[in-house]
Amino acid sequence: MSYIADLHIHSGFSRATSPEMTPEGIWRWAQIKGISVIGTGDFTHPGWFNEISERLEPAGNGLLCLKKEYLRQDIPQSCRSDVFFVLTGEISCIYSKDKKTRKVHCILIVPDMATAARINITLSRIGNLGSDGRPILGLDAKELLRITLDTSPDAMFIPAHIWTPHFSVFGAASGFDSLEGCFEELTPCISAVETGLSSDPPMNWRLSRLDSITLISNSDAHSPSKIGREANIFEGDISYKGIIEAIKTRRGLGGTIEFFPEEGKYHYDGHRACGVCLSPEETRAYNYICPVCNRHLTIGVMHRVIALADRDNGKKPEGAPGYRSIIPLPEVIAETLKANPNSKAVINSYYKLISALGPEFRILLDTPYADIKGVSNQLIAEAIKRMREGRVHISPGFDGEYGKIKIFEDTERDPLKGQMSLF
Amino acid sequence: MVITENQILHGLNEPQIQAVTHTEGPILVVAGPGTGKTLTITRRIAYILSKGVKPEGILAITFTNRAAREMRERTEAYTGQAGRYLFIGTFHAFGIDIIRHTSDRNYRIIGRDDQIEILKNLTGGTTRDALKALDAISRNKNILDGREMGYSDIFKRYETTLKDMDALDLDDLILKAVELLRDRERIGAYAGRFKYIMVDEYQDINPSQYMLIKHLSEFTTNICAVGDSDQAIYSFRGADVENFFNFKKDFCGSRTVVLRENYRSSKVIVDASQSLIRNNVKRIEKDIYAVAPKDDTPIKIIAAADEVAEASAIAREIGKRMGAMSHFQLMQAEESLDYRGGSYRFSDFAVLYRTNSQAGALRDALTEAGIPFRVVGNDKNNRALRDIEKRLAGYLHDGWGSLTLEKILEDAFVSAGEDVLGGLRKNLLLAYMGLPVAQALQKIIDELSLFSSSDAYDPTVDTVTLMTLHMSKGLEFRVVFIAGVEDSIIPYGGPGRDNNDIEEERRLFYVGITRAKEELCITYCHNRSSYGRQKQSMPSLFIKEIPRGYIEYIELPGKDKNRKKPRQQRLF
Repeated sequence: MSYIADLHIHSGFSRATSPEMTPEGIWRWAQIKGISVIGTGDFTHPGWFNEISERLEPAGNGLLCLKKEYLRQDIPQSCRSDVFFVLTGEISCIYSKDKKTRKVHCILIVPDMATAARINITLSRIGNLGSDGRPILGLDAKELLRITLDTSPDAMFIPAHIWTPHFSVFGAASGFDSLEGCFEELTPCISAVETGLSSDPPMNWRLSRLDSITLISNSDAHSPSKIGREANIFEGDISYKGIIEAIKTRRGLGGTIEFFPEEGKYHYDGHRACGVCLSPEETRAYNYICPVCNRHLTIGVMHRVIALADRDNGKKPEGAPGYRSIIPLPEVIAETLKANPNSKAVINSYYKLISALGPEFRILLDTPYADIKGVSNQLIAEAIKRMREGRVHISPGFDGEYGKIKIFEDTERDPLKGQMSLF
Repeated sequence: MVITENQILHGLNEPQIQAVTHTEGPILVVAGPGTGKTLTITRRIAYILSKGVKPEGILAITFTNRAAREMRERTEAYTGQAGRYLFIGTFHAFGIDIIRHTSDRNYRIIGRDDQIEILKNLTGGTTRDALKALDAISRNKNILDGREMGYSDIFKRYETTLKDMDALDLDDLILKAVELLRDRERIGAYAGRFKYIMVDEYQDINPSQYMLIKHLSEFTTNICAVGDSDQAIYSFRGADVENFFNFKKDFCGSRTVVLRENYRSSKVIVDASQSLIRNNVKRIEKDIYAVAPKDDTPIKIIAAADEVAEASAIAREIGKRMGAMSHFQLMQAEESLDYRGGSYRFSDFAVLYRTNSQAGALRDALTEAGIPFRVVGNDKNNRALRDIEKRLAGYLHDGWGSLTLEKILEDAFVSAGEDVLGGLRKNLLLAYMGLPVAQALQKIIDELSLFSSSDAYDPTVDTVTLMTLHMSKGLEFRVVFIAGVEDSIIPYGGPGRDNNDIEEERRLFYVGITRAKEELCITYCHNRSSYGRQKQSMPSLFIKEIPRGYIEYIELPGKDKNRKKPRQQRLF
């Protein structure tokens, strides 16, 4: 069997997160999305750690599950399924190396509460873990890797959203040009990286030095509805060992589910406040200076990939798993209605679809068009078809602004609607 | 290890060379801030060794363990193996050494925690009462005048208790050493071995330490005192800067060398500090000048409405230099960041203040901004940890009956506020509940002992440092903030304090500003709450003593602080 896992999210104890990010809330939304294994996020936070240690229990497969007394009923019958939790956390390492400020976000995945607790004890000697679910520590990312390795051989350390400009290992503003620059002799202990929303596997395949590294994708969700906007497909029985093995060896990793990278908020270069969005070529033509405010532009992910790439095109390396690109279902619906994704009409339509057809991932990836059309309309079925075929137009995101999706030209909607009325 | 004289003197300036090579007879090295004091002392040790002196013959006394450690590390580059035979340590360490080598009694040495425990029993009061009594007793011992300071009864009972225990406290270590040194017959073999003596921070020695040096000088005249009378800040502990001024009188035929070149701070900071300290009457006049290339970065003076606004302004200034801490902050910024990253790390910043009570607002603001920090000298946390450690050791030693690890930890943590130690108990429990209790307890005790004493500044931990001006002595940071530079905070107290006090406070402020390498930012509030009440506050007179030409003055907007941009003006 294959199942979907999202290994990087945040709890309500992180900054700027939804209060619905509780164990129950996450459990509920994982089912709505169609996710079988979800990270707890934030295991370093004392408040969250306390909560998960009380509400979760070992499931017997190295993962955790929600205790019976916390199970909720408000989930459409069509979506109900088992959800397992895996202990994860993210640390923001801010330090200086070679006379440059470095800011590197790192994901930790650990096998059990005892390992999490031991890492917490070590880290609480270094900084205040209670100030944020994703704590900032003045700790070299390499030292964090060492601490992880020293604590447990079954723990995983994964550099997070590796291309994002301000907070990642390859980030243009405060990252490195290579994994070796950051992790030095411990680099061989890095077996996977998280590609982030603004890059997809083909972009990463342009770097031969990443050929042996597993590319994984997660949502980094701060609110329940964002869970699973990127995720991983694993094969085999659900277990902690299985997941870790698959990440380490790529055997048992079926592939990743990806954002269209253009939709990510750092795909292109630019200045949000100045309304300037530029392609890498344009940025070079402007000499990296914003034509509006004359200050340095924020360099996006595409630019950075090109700068570090040693191949022109992203040909799939041998042994690399494939990927599927998606647009979150609410956005697909919103595009058909020309409405805001958070609007009532979209939400109603969303619940109608999942109640009838099952979780979001199934609808986006597998449900036959006829079935979709059967419970909604031609326009939605057509939108999902185009999404699956990659026939969408997205004006790229830049400097923190999400890209804007366009599945239909305005001239297309009406004829398609017209067709609808024919049926 | 053979090192030539040339190598030892390499890179030193003229006065430094004089201080290094003048080895015979007494010498006073007046070392202004950032003038390479430690460098000079370590080279001096290397120089003396290179003349064939045995390392056992050299004694270097420092003010803190940290200074001793640094000096030892830096000396080793020149001495190699021989380094370990040098005596480099604090007065206390030296006191212990004297006692161990020359007394037949086997004293138990008690630390601050034990002292507090004893005094709590004697006074029947709280830790606070005990600390107050402890300060008075310590001061009494250091100044050697036996004056009774309102604790006479407690003092006597305390002394009796120690005597019954055959124990010495830290202050006793010096007194006992002096007592032993008086017996020349007995001590000759030990003390006679030291041919070259160096004393760091000589401006801050107290009468009992002075007596110790004086007695040692009966065995050798090669006494080198190093320090800076402008940085004497410990009179409240009984230190007496007069010892520094009296060096010439005390040690016949002495020579004085003044180190003037400041290698640490920008020219603006050095010049401003000199203008300030010249307002003191009691001092050795000297011209300190900056070696650093010219840099026009002015000293920032920020005026805020209250201590909350002041603290968030400091957090903002740190944030500006570090860049955004999170995506959330980036999204909130009104304008796009000028994006090239900088070179700072959190440990490049220090926030200094006159009294510990100022730390609260600063911690809150830094926590809010997501900036990791460490409060140096916050022994509340430290005491709690040591206390827990002790209780757990008690269980390990005496047994725990049928108690579970969970119950044992609960009991041990009872005295420690859970919030202070942030979830530590839960983590310890979950980490070790799988082990047999005895093994778990041992592991937990080991873990706890790794929490570094927060008394000490730890340069390996990369955080912003919060500490009092007193604690900052001897340290340096790229960017230094001094908060609450207001009347009655610094100089401390209200009317009735005399000129000596003001001069000492000015020295303390001088120590603070000379910690800064690149940037200095001084802040004050118009209103400050004290004991729950808002009170109007005035800028310190020390601010007016900094020439305007060095200053960029920023008045933060008042109430409506979120919207308006700060008004900036440069005053000349």
